[in-house]
Amino acid sequence: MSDILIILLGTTILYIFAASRIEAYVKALALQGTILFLLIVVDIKDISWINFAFLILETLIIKGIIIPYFLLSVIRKNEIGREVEPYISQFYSVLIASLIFMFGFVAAFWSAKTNAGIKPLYFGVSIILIIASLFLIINRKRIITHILCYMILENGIFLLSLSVANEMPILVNVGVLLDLFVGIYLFVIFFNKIQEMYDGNHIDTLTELKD
Amino acid sequence: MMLKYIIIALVIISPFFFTGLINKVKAIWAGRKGSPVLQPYFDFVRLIQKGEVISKTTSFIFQISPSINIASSLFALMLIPLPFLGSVISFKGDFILFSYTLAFSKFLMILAALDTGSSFEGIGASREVTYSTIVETAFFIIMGSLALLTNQISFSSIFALLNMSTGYTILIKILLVISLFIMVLVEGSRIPIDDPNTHLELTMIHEVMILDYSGTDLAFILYSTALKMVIVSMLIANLLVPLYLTVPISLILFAFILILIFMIIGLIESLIARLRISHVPQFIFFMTAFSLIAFAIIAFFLRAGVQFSGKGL
Amino acid sequence: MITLVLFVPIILGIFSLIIKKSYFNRISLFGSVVLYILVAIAVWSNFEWYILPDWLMVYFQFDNIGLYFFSVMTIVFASVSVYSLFYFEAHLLTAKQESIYIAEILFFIVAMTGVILSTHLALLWVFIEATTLTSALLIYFEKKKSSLEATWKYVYICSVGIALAFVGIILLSIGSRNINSLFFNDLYKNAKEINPFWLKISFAFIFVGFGTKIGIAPIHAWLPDAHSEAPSPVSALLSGALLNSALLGLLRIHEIFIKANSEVFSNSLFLLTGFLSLVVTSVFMLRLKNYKRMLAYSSIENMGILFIGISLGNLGFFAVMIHLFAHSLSKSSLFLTSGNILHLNKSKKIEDVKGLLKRDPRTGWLWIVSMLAIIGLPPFPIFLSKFLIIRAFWLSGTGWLIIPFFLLLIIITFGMSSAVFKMSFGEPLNGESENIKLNLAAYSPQIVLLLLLLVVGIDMPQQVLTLINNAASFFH
Repeated sequence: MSDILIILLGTTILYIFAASRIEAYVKALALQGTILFLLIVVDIKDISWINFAFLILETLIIKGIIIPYFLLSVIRKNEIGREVEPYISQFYSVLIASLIFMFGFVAAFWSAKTNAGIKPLYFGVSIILIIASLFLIINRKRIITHILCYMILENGIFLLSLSVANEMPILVNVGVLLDLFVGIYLFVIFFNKIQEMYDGNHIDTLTELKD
Repeated sequence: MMLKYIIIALVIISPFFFTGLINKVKAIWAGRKGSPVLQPYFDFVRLIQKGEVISKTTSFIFQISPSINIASSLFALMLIPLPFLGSVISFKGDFILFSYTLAFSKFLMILAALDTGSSFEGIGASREVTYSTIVETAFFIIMGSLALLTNQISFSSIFALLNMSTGYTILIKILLVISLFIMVLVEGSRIPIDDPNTHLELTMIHEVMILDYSGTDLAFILYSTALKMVIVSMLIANLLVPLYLTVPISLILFAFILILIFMIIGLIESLIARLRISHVPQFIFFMTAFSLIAFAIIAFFLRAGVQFSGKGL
Repeated sequence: MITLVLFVPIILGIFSLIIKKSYFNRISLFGSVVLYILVAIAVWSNFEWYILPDWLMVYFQFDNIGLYFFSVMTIVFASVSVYSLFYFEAHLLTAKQESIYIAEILFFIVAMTGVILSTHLALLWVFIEATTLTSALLIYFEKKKSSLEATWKYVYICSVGIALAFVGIILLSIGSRNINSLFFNDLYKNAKEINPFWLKISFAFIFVGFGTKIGIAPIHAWLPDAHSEAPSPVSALLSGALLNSALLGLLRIHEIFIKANSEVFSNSLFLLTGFLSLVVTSVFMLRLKNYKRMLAYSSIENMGILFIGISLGNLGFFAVMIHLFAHSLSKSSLFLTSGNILHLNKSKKIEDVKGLLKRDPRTGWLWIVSMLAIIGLPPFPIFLSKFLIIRAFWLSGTGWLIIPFFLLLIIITFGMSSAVFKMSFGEPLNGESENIKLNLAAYSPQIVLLLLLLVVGIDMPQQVLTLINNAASFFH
């Protein structure tokens, strides 16, 4: 079951690479949050209830509902165009996504071979999410897509931390979550400001400071 | 043994029933009564009875293309196995022949389209080539990964060894079914890749290539397109039918899955608009991506004997 | 003690936000400054009365190197606080704006203190991320278009970088599975048991992440923008304290390599990026038009020198500690003085500023002397640290590296001093020759900083020497 969920999580990345609407990104994000929640429910046993409650809060409530809702309302309110405007066309993006996938599976295979006590498929897909989000950050012109891709990066990191057997202390978990939350909040505040002050919302408009 | 030939004969008769089914689903979904399910047969008979108009600028390619098309589709059908019964013709590496038979018919279609000298048909041919390149690679990845999984290299033996028991094969089957389903859509030129009902040459893909055909030739082409969809759907059904059932039940299930696939196609056509031409390749590329994932899982996990989820947590 | 340091400024900051009265703002700012100075002195002189609830002591601790970084940060914090009084007056801030400014400064300081004192790797990460978030609004404090751009780049680049650092931390926890703890002490104790492959790959990620925060080339893109667009006291805080605390995070990881006897890998990374930073700075230094950006590039250069010093191992650590202290103080002094210049000329362009010495002799001389301090003229401690680094090059058998090191430093020194002299001498533009005298708060912090530097440079007091030696002995 968890294998299917993980692969589904990976295919959301393919969808994001091929999608040309910004709202599709947000939906994929919400889907990712929900899948992460299901993964925790299906896969994690022997965990203290407080940690479990915390994980559910983090995945379902914050990653699955609050942040996507927040971003969606920002997108609707600002009436920014719907296209994501990549530098490289979506077809080649999907091609590159498949290459990233192959790399991720090689990494998963290899990590299983090294016998380091990690779950290979989790590891591979999280590597896929991380590399893919970095590629998307480079390849998309819009500032709002940068925020969305940052969230994908965070999901990848969350999955990576699930692949490791050791648990972080709850204090650290709370701190990470708080940082993530405040980070997204700040991103949106500054995004709104940029929207107000500049005509467009492309990174091409941010060229005032240079040497 | 007779059963196999009877079923193959039924399949040969069936393609228009399935296209009729798509139309019926679309009609019901739209709240219309719709034409009868067997309407495509009536159209077929009507077209056969009509005379042909053949452009003077064309060569013999244009005339032989539909016949070769229908012949190669029928030959491809002979290679497809049925659950428990196997295929009519089976030998090692038959899926390569299968793929090239389909490619050959497509090649002649494209040549014929170029033969007419019409610029619209040239556009259609170019698009068709683009999509086929993607589909064929993906198909080979699918068959390659299945061969890797079962250690067999013919359709019948591959499908005879697949069973649904373990978690891994379920996952692989889901991925492969999705990508084969995309292949059905491409082979049949259905929405969201191509709209068979469109009336604007610029947006056509498959339809524009057969603009110049009429009468019997057109009927042949319509038939072979429908048959190709059925053939690829049969591959999907082969993947899905479990092998621990008795022969009659599995055959009924087989037919049921085929009907289900075509009803899903009908639903998709009712619900989704066709994609922008520039977005089609990336949609078809999903087929490659999914089959690559399946291939990677087989190559790295199953073959290497590595467990998916390590212990822990 | 640690509870005090971490919570009192936050509480004071929150109260400032609520009360919004000018007098209370000053009380909370200087209350925190006094608290920090007292704590630094108390820990320094080993008072034993700071035993605290157990659970915080597990996660936060004053060790030798932490104390050193804490002291440097406190000095910068104190001078920035005094200068802020001038900033409030010059920009005619309302009590409400003041309270926002002060609350953000206090939160920022707490975040940096958390970085310095954490004993757990992931907790350190949390606080480094917190420094980004708390300082973002400070950089945007003047609410201009350009400062918005700078803030966006700062928040985004640093967040992505820090996220990569977290990947590194998780990879490290894979490698240290048999230790099953990310407390630094456990990692140091069992450094040899960590799988070297995972250690190296995780260090590469953490290096990129924390290096983004430190502003090392080639991931320095945010630094000149943020430093030049922030209010001058905030720039001083960024350059004098933030970069150091991120550096401490990296040093703590580097220590694992030293303990595992495989520091060749991390040393080569430090050396490479250190020299790259020098090259980048020397390329840009000659064509800069904005004097605050010039100071920012100088920060990149000095972080590069620190990296080079770290890569030299035992020979370099003492020099690194001195250099860090001297850079923080003199760079803060430069940034604070640049605030005066900005106030006098209303322009950040080098060509718009002329005849500082005639316009305001105090600012002019502070500008020149601070510049001399940062390029390392003999009485100032940077001379000592650069000299020690060159000596370490010679002793470590890589003497040929002295030549590029020297050449790059000469180019940077030339670029910086020519710009500073161009601004200081000559006749003021538009005939504004009347002699202006600013508030006392606009000069006193820099004077104190420079005096401290001179004292350390000419005759280092025994206590300071012990402190630096203790800090440098962290790496043994």
